[in-house]
Amino acid sequence: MASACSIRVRGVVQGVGFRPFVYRLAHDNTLAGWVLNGEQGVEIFLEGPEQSLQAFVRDLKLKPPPAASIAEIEIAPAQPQGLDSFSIRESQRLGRPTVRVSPDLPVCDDCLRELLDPADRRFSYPYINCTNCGPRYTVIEKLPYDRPHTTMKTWPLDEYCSGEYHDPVNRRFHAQPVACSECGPQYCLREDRTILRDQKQVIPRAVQLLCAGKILAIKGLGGYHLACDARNTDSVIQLRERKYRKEKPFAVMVPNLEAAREVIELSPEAEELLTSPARPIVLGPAKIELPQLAPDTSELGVMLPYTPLQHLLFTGNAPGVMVMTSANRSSEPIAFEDDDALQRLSGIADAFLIGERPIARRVDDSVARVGAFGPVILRRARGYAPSAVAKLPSAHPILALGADLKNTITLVVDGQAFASQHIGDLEHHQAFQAFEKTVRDLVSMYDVNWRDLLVVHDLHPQYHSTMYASLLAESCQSVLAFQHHRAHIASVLAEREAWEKPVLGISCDGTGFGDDGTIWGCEFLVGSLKRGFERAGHLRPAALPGGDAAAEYPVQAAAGFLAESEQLQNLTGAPFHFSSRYKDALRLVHKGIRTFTTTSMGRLFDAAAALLGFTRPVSYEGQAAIWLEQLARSSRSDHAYPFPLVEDQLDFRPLLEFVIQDRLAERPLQDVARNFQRGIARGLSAAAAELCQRHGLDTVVLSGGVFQNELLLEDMKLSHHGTGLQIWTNHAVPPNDGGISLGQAALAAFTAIETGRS
Amino acid sequence: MAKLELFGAARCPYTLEMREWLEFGRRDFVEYDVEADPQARARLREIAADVRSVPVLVEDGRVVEVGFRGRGCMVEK
Repeated sequence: MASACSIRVRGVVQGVGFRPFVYRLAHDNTLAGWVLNGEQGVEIFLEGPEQSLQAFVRDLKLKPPPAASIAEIEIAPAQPQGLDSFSIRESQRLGRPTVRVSPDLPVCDDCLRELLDPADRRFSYPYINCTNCGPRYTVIEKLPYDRPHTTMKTWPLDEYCSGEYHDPVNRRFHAQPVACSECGPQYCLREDRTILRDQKQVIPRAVQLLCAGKILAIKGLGGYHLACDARNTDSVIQLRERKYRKEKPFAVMVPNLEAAREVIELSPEAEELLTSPARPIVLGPAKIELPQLAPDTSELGVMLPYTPLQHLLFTGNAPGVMVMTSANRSSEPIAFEDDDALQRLSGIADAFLIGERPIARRVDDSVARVGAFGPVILRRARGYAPSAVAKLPSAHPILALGADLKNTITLVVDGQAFASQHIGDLEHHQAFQAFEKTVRDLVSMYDVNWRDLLVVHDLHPQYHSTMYASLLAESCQSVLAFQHHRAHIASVLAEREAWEKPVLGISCDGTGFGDDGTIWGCEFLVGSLKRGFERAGHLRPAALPGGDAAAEYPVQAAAGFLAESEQLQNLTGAPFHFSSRYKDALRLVHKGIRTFTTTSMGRLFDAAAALLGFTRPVSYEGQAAIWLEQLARSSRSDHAYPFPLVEDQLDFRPLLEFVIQDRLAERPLQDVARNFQRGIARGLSAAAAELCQRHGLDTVVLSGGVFQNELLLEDMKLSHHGTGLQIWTNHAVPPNDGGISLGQAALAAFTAIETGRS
Repeated sequence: MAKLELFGAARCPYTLEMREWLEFGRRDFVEYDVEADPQARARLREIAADVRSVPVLVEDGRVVEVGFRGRGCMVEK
């Protein structure tokens, strides 16, 4: 007697070889029925002996394809239809797609073997892929995921590829981007006006140029890279000059894990991260000296090759440590369209390695590290986006627009929060355009009706994202504003799906618009996602001459923090040597001109860095704090300067007075930096303990850009040891402003807004 | 005694929360609905030109809080 059932599988189940897997599984268990890609996920109908059905379901759960990620399996009994075979049916398009778009995947071992096998049809073919690997998010134009909806639509399959594409037991069955050198796109090499198209010569010539110290623009998955030999100091200096990137670190790519182990120190967890399907840039302590790569820090960012082309360069003997940095001028978004790349990079790159396959959207490399509290993503993009980062109990769709710096957006559909790739700083026109495109992209990809959307933005009235929200006000359900630092804390709680848990949030960063209109940046927040957060404490307010512009000049921040100090030292002389900007800033503070109030932890770090000798302007965000952290790392001092909580305000004055005194007493710089760092950690921890006790809390949540400071996290972990308090930090989204959109979405999910537009 | 004004909107849940909080604290305040009352809207614009969200709590003509505990609703300008 035959039984039958219908199965629906949700999650990342399209474009990952799921249907061929189901086909094989049904075959192995001699079951009849069909499978298709629906918009709610993969739909399966099965009939056959009950035992076989059970075996099928067991294997479905136990052995899914490597790139699949099953969120949910629904099984319902059905009426047998007397089918005698199993088939794969065409994709269905009905309601709103809830199936997830897969992130891009690194080339798999099978494809890699074929790529390097001279007897294989796809030997040396830089666009080799199969259902287990290759591009996804960067080629998908719309759902459902089918070749005509990808940037591969203009390359018809030849007989060979078509045979594989239609063969249910083949690894390339319905592999949408499948191609070979006969029918698919190619790479060419452009130097000045000559274009090399001979496929046998393209890679060798590119390698030759790299080895000769040239800078190459190389088209990758989500945009162009600029590449050069990392060991060639002149090339790296050239690249810095041409890119207008003075000091910000460059990441490197090495051919394999063994090579990575020689470049940075790697814990087993860090190796796992480095070789994970997302293939992020992993930060770790440098083992080799390449001072031009990361002038301020002793850390380096390393990644492994993830596209076939990158493997071909390395097997073709490209330099063993290669700079691979986003192709752009400083702080512009990465170039991803060929004409734009040629134009924008013409003064930077000596040659262009251009692939014909268009990139559907710009996606940068992701950056991650293993920290004191486990893996943390610092920039979430290729390999992670646009996968879901959290479940949120929201019946209506939510579009959270994030913050203006390190912008990301989050779309909540059917209770799933999809976080976009890192977009960039919205004050740059191109980044703003990318932001608008990403919004439209995600909203249309998930077929969300604008009228149903709850749009969320930062409380900052002058953010570009706030202006954008006001433009949407007419066409959407409602527009909500949430305060920056609460969104940081909410992001951690959303990741953990801790919707009702009351916590003490410590939100520390450089800047965020506060409830009272002042610039916040070190906030103690008590509450839960569901009930909202009340400000329970903060850094003692300081003056900020020049407002956000002070972020560029540590001595200007120092003037604000020191202005009310009782014994104001002359800091323009030895050993401080502050520039005249300091005195000018002091004058602004005393006259109250263009001076704002701030509780910014970022500026407090800047002030301390200035006192320790970082008196020049910063050339990228957070530079002075990174410099201070690195300085502190080389010290063995175990002191901590006092940073007491007085009437719910952390008083920075003793902290800075000790820095000044010890500088005047000529204590080693690194010891002063170390004592300052430990003082911050102990001050935050003691304040947390006191506030937790008062409010009856057992959990402390840390978020905000300051918590990218690993030394601070290590110190806090130590200070909290034995207090009985647990600490939660971000893992799925960045602790910096890249995590704000998820936090905003989470806060919106709990809003009591009436839906149904009047 | 300080003069306290609450600028809000009828549909905004955070205006409601702020009102309840003020009432709980037995504070004297005047409430305006900036969506229903164009004069109130004009006055809020005078006090805080760039504020786009409510509730806004104003004490003696000075903004002391935008949003209630960091949450607000955008209103048409």
